[in-house]
Amino acid sequence: MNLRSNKTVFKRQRKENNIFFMSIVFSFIIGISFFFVFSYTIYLDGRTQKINKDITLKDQHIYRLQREIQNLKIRLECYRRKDYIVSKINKYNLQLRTPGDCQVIDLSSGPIYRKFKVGDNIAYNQY
Amino acid sequence: MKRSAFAARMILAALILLLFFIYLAVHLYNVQIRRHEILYKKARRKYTTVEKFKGKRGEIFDINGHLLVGNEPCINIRANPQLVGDKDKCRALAGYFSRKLDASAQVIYRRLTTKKIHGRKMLQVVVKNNVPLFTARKIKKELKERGFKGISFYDSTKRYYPKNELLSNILGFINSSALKITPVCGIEQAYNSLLAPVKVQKSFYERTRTGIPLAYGNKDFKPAKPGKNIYLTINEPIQEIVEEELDKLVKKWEPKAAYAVMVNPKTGSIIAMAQRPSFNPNDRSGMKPEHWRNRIVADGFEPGSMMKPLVIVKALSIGLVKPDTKINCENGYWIYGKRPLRDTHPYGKIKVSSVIQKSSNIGTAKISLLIGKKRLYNLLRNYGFGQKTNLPFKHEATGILRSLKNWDTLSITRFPIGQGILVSPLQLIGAYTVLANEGRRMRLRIVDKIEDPKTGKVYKYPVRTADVVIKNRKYVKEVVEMMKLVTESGGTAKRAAVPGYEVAGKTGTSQKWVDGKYSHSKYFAGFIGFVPAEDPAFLLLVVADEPLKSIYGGVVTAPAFSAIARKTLKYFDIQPAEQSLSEKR
Repeated sequence: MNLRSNKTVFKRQRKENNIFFMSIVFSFIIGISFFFVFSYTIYLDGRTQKINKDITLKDQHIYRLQREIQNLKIRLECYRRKDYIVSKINKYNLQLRTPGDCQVIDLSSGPIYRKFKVGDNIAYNQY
Repeated sequence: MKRSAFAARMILAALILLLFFIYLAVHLYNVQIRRHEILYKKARRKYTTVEKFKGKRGEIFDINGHLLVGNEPCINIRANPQLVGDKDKCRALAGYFSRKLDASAQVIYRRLTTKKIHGRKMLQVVVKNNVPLFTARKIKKELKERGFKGISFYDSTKRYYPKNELLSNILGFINSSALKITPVCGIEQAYNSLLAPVKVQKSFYERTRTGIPLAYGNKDFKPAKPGKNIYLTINEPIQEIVEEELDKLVKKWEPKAAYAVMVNPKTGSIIAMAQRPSFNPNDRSGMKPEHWRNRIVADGFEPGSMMKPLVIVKALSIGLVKPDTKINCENGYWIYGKRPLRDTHPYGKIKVSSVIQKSSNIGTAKISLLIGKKRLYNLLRNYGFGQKTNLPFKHEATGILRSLKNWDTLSITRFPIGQGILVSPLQLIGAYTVLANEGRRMRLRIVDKIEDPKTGKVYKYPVRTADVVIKNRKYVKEVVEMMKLVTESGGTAKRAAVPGYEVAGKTGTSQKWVDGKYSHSKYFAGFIGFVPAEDPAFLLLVVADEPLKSIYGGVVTAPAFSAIARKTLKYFDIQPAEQSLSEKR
């Protein structure tokens, strides 16, 4: 009788221990999960910040490039100015002048297009 | 006893603790509830940024998208006198800036050494505003290398006119200060409401310690809206041609002023518009008001003989005369209304076509008598004289066309020869679209389209007919044939001829009205015409105000017309009449 009763007590104790152990494991897993979730959140937060910083830097870079493009556009228009071109021609003594009427040939519809093939050696003064 | 003493002490401690908690509660109430708003704002200031985004002003382009007015990115250089250093460093900095920025070293030195003003610390002084981007970048690098401190660089933009004098009177300019932009004249003024960016927008966002916006933070970004871009009907290469030839005219004939307007008669689009004197909007240091006054829009002049074809076409259209009807020109001297009217050369009976070719005042006056006062007045109104052209410019001249009840006996004989009537160059060229466009007067247009740079939406200004002045195109063609004779042998403007092309045109020489009478030394000389006469590519008016060496339109302005026309025809690739005829065959 005593033995049986001891056995029953032992079984009950074992069962209680199991529950206790299980609850510790469960808590541990939950804790670990929380730890990972929070760590991951912090990691994601860090990444968001990094991406955010990259975006801002890229935005700043785009802004700077846009300003540079705008500046170059203005320069281009200045260089297209006739007085600028003429001053450079004079400065470098380029001997350039406006072509005469006979020197301008419309290649798409003029006689030169019909008469000759591409690659023919033609002296422009023929026309 | 002992127990009661202990209890008393405990009660006292509890009471002190209670009081402490009450104090804490009151303080918490103060901080969290009563002063919440103030403290929240104070805290928010620490982790948020409020930024003002200012949109850029719209740009102006020609019809092909060539930039005429733009915004040049610049840098404003500022210095913090507290950080710059001692006087030696200030002197060195001032010397460096004066060399690099072409500024006064003395002024910069004074600013850098002003550490306090009215007892307050100076934290920022201007070194130079609107420094070109590349120069500023170079300076920044050099300052870093030399170890100078306390210099800041701020982005800014400056209105820039890359073509300098080109079209400057039409484009106008703006005066800009730190607070506001004031448009002064031209397109800049007329379209300011469109060109100006939409209000300065305030944006706020939560930021990190280094100023980077937080992705998950509260934010209210309001990007500024830029102004609209304007595309003019002006064609830049042709504008350059016109200005170049106008310069030659001014150099040769030394007029007080000169102007030229070129219009596409089929659409009313202004292709080129130039005047002298002019100015450089990028350097307005020596500019006088007469330089930036838009004479083409605001000035009026008596058109002289350039009025004649406009009147004779009406007489033809209502069947009063025919091209070969002979008119007695009284050998160059005719009295009407007790006042004499003269021709430059004596003519007897000449055909109506010769009246235009020889520019006979008497012949034209007699034809206008046939038309009658009322019809003539209505005709002049239909041509748009005495009215605004509806171009967007402010201060546009309406000219002077007296109402019918104010006409005297001489009016009917003087207005058709361009005397006693004041027209603006724009009105005159607008009226001539009737002859170049088969009787239809086109509404002039200078803006082709308006573009919203943000959305890409485009509003195109439509081509509009203002009035059908001559209904039957046959009579217009007859007058055009007469006008062709003007540039041929025997005409008044042989110098306006363009080899290989048929030019229809008319000279005009008119005396200026000075101190209540017509001057015998001050004249307007002009020429107006279109090429090719049969199918005009453009209509061009050239006027010289008070030319010195000659007074005649056929001498002063006709060669400029010819040169401009020749180059423009080449640019448009319009074949000469003979060549195009042979190609058709």
